[in-house]
This record gives sequence, C-alpha cells and structure tokens, in this order.
Amino acid sequence: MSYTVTSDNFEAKKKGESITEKELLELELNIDALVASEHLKKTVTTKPATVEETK
Amino acid sequence: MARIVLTDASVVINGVNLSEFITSVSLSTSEDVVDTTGMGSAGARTRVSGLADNSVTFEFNQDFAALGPEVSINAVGSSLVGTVTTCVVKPTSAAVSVTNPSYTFSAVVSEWQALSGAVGELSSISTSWPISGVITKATA
Repeated sequence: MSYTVTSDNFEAKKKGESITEKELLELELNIDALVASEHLKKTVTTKPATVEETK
Repeated sequence: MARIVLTDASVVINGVNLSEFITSVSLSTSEDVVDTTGMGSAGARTRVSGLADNSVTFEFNQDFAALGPEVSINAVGSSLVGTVTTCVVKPTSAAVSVTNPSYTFSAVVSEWQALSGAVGELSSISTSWPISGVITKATA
C-alpha cells in the first residue's frame, strides 16, 4: 500500500511524492493520524482490466 | 564558540514539521539519585545515578486551519493524544551537523489543550510530554 504526500509540512517526502506503508512504518510514524490530518492520502491503485474482463 | 539565539528551531512531530507554530521548546533529562549511604561513609551521604527521566515541553500558537497543530496532533478520527509518537528537534532547520545536532525520541502525547487563551490574547498551547526511552542525539 502506498500514500501520496499532500502537505508541504511532511518531512520525509515532498508534496506530490509517493511513500509506501513500509517506509512509514520504518520511520515509526502514525499513518492513520497522518491520513486523518490530511498530510497523506491513500493512493488508489486501479487494477488493469484483463482481456477476459473487457469481453 | 558561538552562542545561539533560537529563531529557527526545527520541531517535527509524527513526521510533520510544525516549527512555524512553535514558540518554545525544552528538552529535559533528569536522573534519579539513589542513596547508597552505608556505615563508615565518613558522615556524608553517598549516591549513584539511577534511571533517566526525559521529557519535552512545547509551546504552540494554536491554528485550527488545515495542517496546523490542532489537526496534525488532534485530528478527528485519529488523534495522537494518548499515543506514543516520534519527534525530532533541532536548534535550527539546517542540516544535521556537530553544531546543529538532532534529538530524536518517542514522546507520550499525554496531554493536549485544544483551546487556551484569554480575551484579547493570542491562543497558545503549552504542553509537556514524558519521553519513552532514550533521546538519540545525532551529529551527522
């Protein structure tokens, strides 16, 4: 799972960059609080459609 | 050695730089003093150092706007109050060096004042949090 930085005040990465859950846990950060306070936004990954699904 | 007047201290709480809202920061360490006096101590107490007790005190200018201290520390749905959170403090915002060491620690966010102030005064918050474990100092 990854997150997009939505704040200029987040230290580990710049606004617009992506950071993984693993990186956040290694930094011992509270992910839920960072999302709730809108410093991070969960990145929505869309699964590419398969040939079967497009038929 | 140059003295320092704090004008640009860096305070990062849970990965968020809140320095612009900070007006004061104090990082304190005290050691328990354990009495070891026994007979034959020449009439004077003897002592050794015991456990260290670390704490940090921050004073903030309150700001309820997005990315301010209230939302960063006490967000609806996931507040840091009552949790242990990583903090990093530096004398200035410059890179870590011998003359600008960083202090990293895990603080227990044991108290928070959502609103404090008197009529006509700036709303500010003074909060003191105990530190869990050691303070790690880095110079590079």
